[in-house]
Amino acid sequence: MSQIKTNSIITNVFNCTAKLTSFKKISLIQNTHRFYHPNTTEYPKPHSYFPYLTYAPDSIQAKILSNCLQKHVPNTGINERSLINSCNDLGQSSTMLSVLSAPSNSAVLELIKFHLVTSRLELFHFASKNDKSLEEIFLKRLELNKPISNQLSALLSHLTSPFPSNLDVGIQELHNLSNDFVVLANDIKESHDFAWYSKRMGLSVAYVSSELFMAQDKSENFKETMEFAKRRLDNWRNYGTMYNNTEEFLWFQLMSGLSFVRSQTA
Amino acid sequence: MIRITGIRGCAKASFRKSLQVPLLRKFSTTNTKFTEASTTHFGSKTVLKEDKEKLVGNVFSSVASKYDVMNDVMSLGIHRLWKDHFINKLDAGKRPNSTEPLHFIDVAGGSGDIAFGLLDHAEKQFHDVESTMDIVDINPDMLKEGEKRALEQGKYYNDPRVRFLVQNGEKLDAIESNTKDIYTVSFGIRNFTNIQAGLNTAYRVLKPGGIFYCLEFSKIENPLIDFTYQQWSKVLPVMGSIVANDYDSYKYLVESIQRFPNQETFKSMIEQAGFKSCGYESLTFGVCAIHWGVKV
Repeated sequence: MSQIKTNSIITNVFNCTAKLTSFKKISLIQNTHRFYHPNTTEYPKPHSYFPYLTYAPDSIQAKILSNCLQKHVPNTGINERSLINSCNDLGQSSTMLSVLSAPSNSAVLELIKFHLVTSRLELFHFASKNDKSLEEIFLKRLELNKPISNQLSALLSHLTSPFPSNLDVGIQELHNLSNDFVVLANDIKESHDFAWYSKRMGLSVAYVSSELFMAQDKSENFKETMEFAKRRLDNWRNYGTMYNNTEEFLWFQLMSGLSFVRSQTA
Repeated sequence: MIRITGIRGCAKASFRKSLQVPLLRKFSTTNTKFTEASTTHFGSKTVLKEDKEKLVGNVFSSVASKYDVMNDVMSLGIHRLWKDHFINKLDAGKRPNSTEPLHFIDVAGGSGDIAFGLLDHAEKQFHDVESTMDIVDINPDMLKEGEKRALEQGKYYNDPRVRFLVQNGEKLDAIESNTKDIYTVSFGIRNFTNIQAGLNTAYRVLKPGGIFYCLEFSKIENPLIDFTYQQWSKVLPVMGSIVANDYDSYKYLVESIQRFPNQETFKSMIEQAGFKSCGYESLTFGVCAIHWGVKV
């Protein structure tokens, strides 16, 4: 009788161990559970290649897209035709369009996403050489649009067309960009209040308006765009100062009001 | 004295026996692996690997003629939307200014709905009438169903571009390595005896730059929706017995769906076969999912 009991205990222990091992395996494979402590995979660095693009920088997808941006987009535009031309250049079949469209439902959208992500990476390399000011970084990002400047309005209209995937890519990349501006300019006094959002939102608005201006700009070497961008940045700073002053004023008034009430009721 | 020798002899004999056949469970899982290697799952049952092929064959032979009705009943007609989305998302076909025609292979696609859909899409969108298609299925009855459909629609029957082949998806003996551009498998891979072998073969037949695209039932993450779905699954075999007078086949189909790995696990299996840039998209809360991978 006791032997049967011992056997059943051993079986239970075995079952538990098996369950634990399988649980560990599953948790290792899935990695979908949120951890108690933040980890690197959960919050990737904003200026990294992965996971925004799902292929390696030296992969055939990246080669096709960068070749397309350099050689075909300025003449043929942001469309499937220029992607096919790029595939033909590199001896690839039409299958590559299916490969490119898999992560974001459209090969053309992937081309735009590639431009946005690689430009952000280039910006990171530019800023990490020396300490750069926010204005320098901001203008550098606009300069990176120069090679495809004649297609800029097509790019913007594609990103703003009301399909969820387009808006997803556009808004996410815009947020990453404004976050990069703040981080790369060493303006990382992280405020855990509404200013965190307003700071980034203000920069996003400044950037989008400058890009819209650039799409219509015919001046030499985009001089007017750069001037326009500088004015937008100044406005953004002024608004920032105004925001801080208002906040300080209201806080002071509140505190003095409270003190006054206290003094009267004491 | 005699007794002692007897016990010793017995002990020696049992020791030898234990060396030959490891009957006792060890702390490590070697024995379990040993048993797993010769058996596999058939729905909720555990069967010998060589038997599963026949059993799955029986299921599909018995449902072949009512395959469409069965799918409609099981998914409330949503499988048509999933298949349409699968074809549109893949968006495959030789583009007008491209030089090379594409070579498709649709595995476990006996009924031909995905294969014909892909060819129609390529023709309609890109005027592609050059790309070829191999429709492969292990079950001749299902392939006949596809040929019948091709004959009825007056397209892709006796067409040099389309081949119907009886092949085991785990081996694909008749398909040479590095010859295909696009490998599709829809609602078929969960019936493979060895799914990993099927994925490895997919990697073998694809050209570098080729894409693996798979539509299969998956796992629902939301517990509330999952609960409803599980209740629905319980009713399905009963519905099967009413519609097609076949309780057991439908029971197998439901159980095989429950046994299939979830999205992340299946993705890691695709990566293990050698594919890169793998990903997936869950459809209808994760009832099924589209998985993809690229051969580099």
